[in-house]
Amino acid sequence: MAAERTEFAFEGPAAFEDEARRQRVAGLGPWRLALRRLRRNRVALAFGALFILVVLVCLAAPIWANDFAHTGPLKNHLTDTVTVDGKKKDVVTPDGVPIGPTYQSRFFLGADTNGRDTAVRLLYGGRNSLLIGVVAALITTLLAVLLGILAGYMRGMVDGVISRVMDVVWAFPVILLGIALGTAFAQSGLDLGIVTISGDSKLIPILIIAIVYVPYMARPIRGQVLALREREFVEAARAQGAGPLRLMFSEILPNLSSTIVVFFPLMVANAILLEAALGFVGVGVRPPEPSWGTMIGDGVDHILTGPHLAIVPGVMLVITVLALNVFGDGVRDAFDPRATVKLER
Amino acid sequence: MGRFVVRRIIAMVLVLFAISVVTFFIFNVIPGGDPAVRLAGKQPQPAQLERIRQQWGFDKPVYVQYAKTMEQIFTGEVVSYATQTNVVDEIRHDAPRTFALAIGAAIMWMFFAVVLGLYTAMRAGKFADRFLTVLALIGISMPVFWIGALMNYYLGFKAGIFPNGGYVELTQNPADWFYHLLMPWTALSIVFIGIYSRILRSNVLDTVNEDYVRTARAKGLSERRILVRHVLRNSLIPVVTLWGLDFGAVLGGGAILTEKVFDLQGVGQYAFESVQQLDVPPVLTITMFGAFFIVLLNTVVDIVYAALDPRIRLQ
Amino acid sequence: MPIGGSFVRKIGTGLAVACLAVLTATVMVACGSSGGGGGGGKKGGSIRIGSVLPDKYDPTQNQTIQAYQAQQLVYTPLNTFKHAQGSAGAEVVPGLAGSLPKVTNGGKTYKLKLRPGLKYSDGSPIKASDFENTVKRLVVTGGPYSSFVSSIVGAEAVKSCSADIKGIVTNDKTGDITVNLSSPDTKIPFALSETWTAPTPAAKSPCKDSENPPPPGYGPYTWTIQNPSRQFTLTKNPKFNLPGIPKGNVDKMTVIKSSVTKMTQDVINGKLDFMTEDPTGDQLPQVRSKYPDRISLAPSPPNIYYFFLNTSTPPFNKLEARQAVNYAIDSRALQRVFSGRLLPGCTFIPPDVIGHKEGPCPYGDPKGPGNVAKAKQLVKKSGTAGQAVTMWTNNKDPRPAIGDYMRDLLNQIGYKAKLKVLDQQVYFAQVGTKSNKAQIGFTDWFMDFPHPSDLLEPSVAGAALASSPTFNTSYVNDPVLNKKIADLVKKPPKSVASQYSDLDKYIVQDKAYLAPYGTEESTSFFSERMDAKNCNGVHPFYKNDWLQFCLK
Repeated sequence: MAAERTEFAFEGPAAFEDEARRQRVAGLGPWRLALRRLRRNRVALAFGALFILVVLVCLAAPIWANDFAHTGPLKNHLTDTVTVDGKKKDVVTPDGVPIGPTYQSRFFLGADTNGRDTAVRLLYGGRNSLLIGVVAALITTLLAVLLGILAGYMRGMVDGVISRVMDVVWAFPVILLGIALGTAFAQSGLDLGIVTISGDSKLIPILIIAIVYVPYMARPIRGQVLALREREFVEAARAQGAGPLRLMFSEILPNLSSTIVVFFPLMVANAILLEAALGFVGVGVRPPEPSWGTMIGDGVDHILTGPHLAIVPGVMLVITVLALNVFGDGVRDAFDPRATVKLER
Repeated sequence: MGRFVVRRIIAMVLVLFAISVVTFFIFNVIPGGDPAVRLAGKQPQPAQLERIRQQWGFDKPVYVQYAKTMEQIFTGEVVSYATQTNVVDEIRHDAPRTFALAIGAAIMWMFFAVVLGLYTAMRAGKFADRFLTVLALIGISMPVFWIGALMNYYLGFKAGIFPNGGYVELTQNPADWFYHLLMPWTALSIVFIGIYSRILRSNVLDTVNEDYVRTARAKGLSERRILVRHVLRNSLIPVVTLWGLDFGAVLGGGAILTEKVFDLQGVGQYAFESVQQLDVPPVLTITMFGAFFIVLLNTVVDIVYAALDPRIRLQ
Repeated sequence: MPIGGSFVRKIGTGLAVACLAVLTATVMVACGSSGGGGGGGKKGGSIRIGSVLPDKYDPTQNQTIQAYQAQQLVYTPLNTFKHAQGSAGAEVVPGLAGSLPKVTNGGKTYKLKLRPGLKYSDGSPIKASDFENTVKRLVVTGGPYSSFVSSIVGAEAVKSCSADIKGIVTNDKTGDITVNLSSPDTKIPFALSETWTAPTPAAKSPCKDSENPPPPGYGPYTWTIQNPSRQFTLTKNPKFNLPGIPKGNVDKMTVIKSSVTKMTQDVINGKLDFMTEDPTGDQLPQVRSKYPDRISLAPSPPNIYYFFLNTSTPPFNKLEARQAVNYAIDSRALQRVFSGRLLPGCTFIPPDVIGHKEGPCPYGDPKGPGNVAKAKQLVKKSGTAGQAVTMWTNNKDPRPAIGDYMRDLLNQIGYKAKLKVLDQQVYFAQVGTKSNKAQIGFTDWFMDFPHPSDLLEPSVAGAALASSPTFNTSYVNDPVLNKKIADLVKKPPKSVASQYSDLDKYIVQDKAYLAPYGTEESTSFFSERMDAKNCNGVHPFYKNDWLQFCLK
């Protein structure tokens, strides 16, 4: 699992000074400038649209399920037959071999070993994967910004503690941590005293993914905050009597917004990929709910008898993540074509 | 400088300690995870359970158990709950496979990343650049276990060009060892080639416009000399450090998925199976080893940076 | 093959067991046993076997069949099971003892006599007192089967191997062994035929789990453990000579640890000659279509797969609800989930276990579709329609798929069903704890001990509820059933086989305490050079009796 890295850590505060100076001279606000550049980037826009398309198709899952496939994502059809080219075929043979894509309305992309319609599960699974990806990325962003600002602004003890905690999470082998937490919580959920989350809840994989990625985003933000706090506008605000809270959230935070916007699509892409990995090892979305990751995991187990089971969700996943990556690249380029802050997946 | 190093090393030890506590805690908090019941197997009798608890020390308080397990890890006397074999021996047997996978893949991805990165930088803006960039992005978007499974199926099982998973010892048959590792190396590298070629490309593009390069050109040095001597060297430094960190991360956990797909029976796969069996000793041991590598490489990188850039030392 | 049948006569309990041995031999021979001993085929040669390796090497400690398969070649108990292919292998024949035990005193005293002049593989003489030492080891170390010798007087009270078991009297000079029970126990003859009571030299058998090396034994093979988690070797013992027990064909067997996927590929291309595991569900169809003459299926060792129906909590505290589940099940669907390795059935006692009867199936033909309509009716009638039900299962393949099938089925017949998948390490403990209120879930039974009580007592007897976790996951505490089981267990199983069948009918048809659907078939997959036809060694208890293996 590749790491997210920015070159920020060693570029130092100087680069940001340059950055901001360049943009101020341009005359237009950074946002308007970025939007203009983004609009000119046809490729990025096209892939952005592709992502929206994937989302819409997944949202339309019930339409496919009810009107075309006449089944649901959880219904088993182990002993059913389907007519293909005039011949009656077993959805699942007595040997346990599921049917491949029929390219008809029923079992369009074939069936899995429980006789469930792959196309229907793909769309419903997409809803789960996308939901988990987006929500996890939101939570990561929230936590990373909060922790990054606190650590970068307060420095000293607070910074020390937060940075060390980040180190611990960062150093934990990601997959093992995911499996360990997933296995632990799948049993009986999470009891936080005030609120209990059941083991089936999607909140479990969401939280695991969110927590794992916090250091990846918190560190660069912390670095940026370290630089920003020395800047004149912060000095000025402090001189005017603004307290630390106001300084952190009214002065510094807005200046982080472009970083956040650049990070976000890539965070979603990474969250979706991590969800797939967790699903693959069996600690993602709980069965029988589908997700692209769990479908790939099941598919790999049956790759000799039903290769379509692994290929289909994988292709969908790659298309979605690719779309996010290209679009995310475009957004980053739009904010600075020669950006020295890069979040590489 | 000395103080900085000491501080970083202390931090490293604290982090490792925290990781060990967290791992132990996770497994002991799982309800229904009474290891005595699992060790006893079928239809356990209460007397049998008591005996097992005393034997393994499960009747002692949690922190005593923790201390005992950690002691066992440091003395190398850790025994797994599930197989009752020595965990360290098992790791010693499996580790060469994981290292072979990680190091081979790392060399492969560096090589291709450099080549690809340089090429696309030199042809920046042209069709070749855009096309290869898209390929790199596709590479980044593919989960390693998926592409690995597909390669295994199409190239290994169907076409028979490559073996269908498995590992051959280097000492047994070097050619076969290499042959069996080609696909896992490729699968693991694809993602990283994508990332690093793009980083290298942008670094090269940045460096090329730097003043010292322009000076070198003005001095009349050949393009090739400039490229290799100045541009490449400066572009590589950040890449190499990132490579070090990612390598640590791969050893620490990324190799698990590749090993599982190709059935390499390395440390990663062992860890994975142990977690599934809720077998605490191997999981704790391997997590410590993995975390140790990651943290060590992180610390080394930090120290090297501090040596190069005095500003960082003050943080 | 129905056991008992027309040969069962009512015999006084005192003579019951003594006649049992003669009876068994007669019945077996009459029913026709296929091939004795090691079958035809070449003698000699060296083979490689892929396995997940024994959980324990000490014969008093193991629980897995992989351990059992190797140990039965190295350790011979006082009696043993016949080394014949198929159901003939269930017959008890003399082992180290000269003949089957003489039973007197109303079934409370067993007398055996060791054959004279026998020596272990390390050269030391086999003594009668070694048997008592083994039983002591079994009890003190808390071996998994230690409860099966609990009826021996004084066995449970023993706390160390230097103490004496009052109920076992041995005479090393004459080789006499007398076992006294506190009450008649029809399990004892079987206990004497298991490797966990096999004598081993007292001097080399300390009072603890001895894994490396395990104590020496006396058998057709000896073993050397190169690495307990990777490899061990079995070598033919030229000094082995016991009448009635074959000496084995193959000279050397190397058993290697491997993963199932790799094992299958290795057997396909001849790097391994046999594998103790079944090819994965994914590999199986290919193997069966490409190498049909090298692979065979058999429902052994005896097992039954069923869904438990928790009678202590709604909705399955209602008879109609339980019957509905039984009507709805379509074993053909489950067969697909097993990749074809399921023999559909409707009885609780499976084939090859005494008491099994291929009876009429009141809930419909197991080889035909389920009756969902009738099930729906029954659910409505029971008044439980619309209730929330959670189907429990664990994550070992294909149990999640079985779980999902049942979840879907429950929804079809009128419940609101969810699925709960737990890790296999903790699953049985969780469903076996009453407070978890697991309404319906996956469970199975694999024979440990060729006596129907091995199935019935843990799963449906009220006494089983005393242990926690319990295997009686339907939480059945039926006084009628409890009494019937207690009575039957006192009698030698063969003599009351038809009564066991009646009990089966009561459990499944009358009360629907659980919903059985079939027996898993295990595979025997051989490499090209092995004689898969004549020497597959399929055995009801060992799954494959490696003694019978031979090369082409």
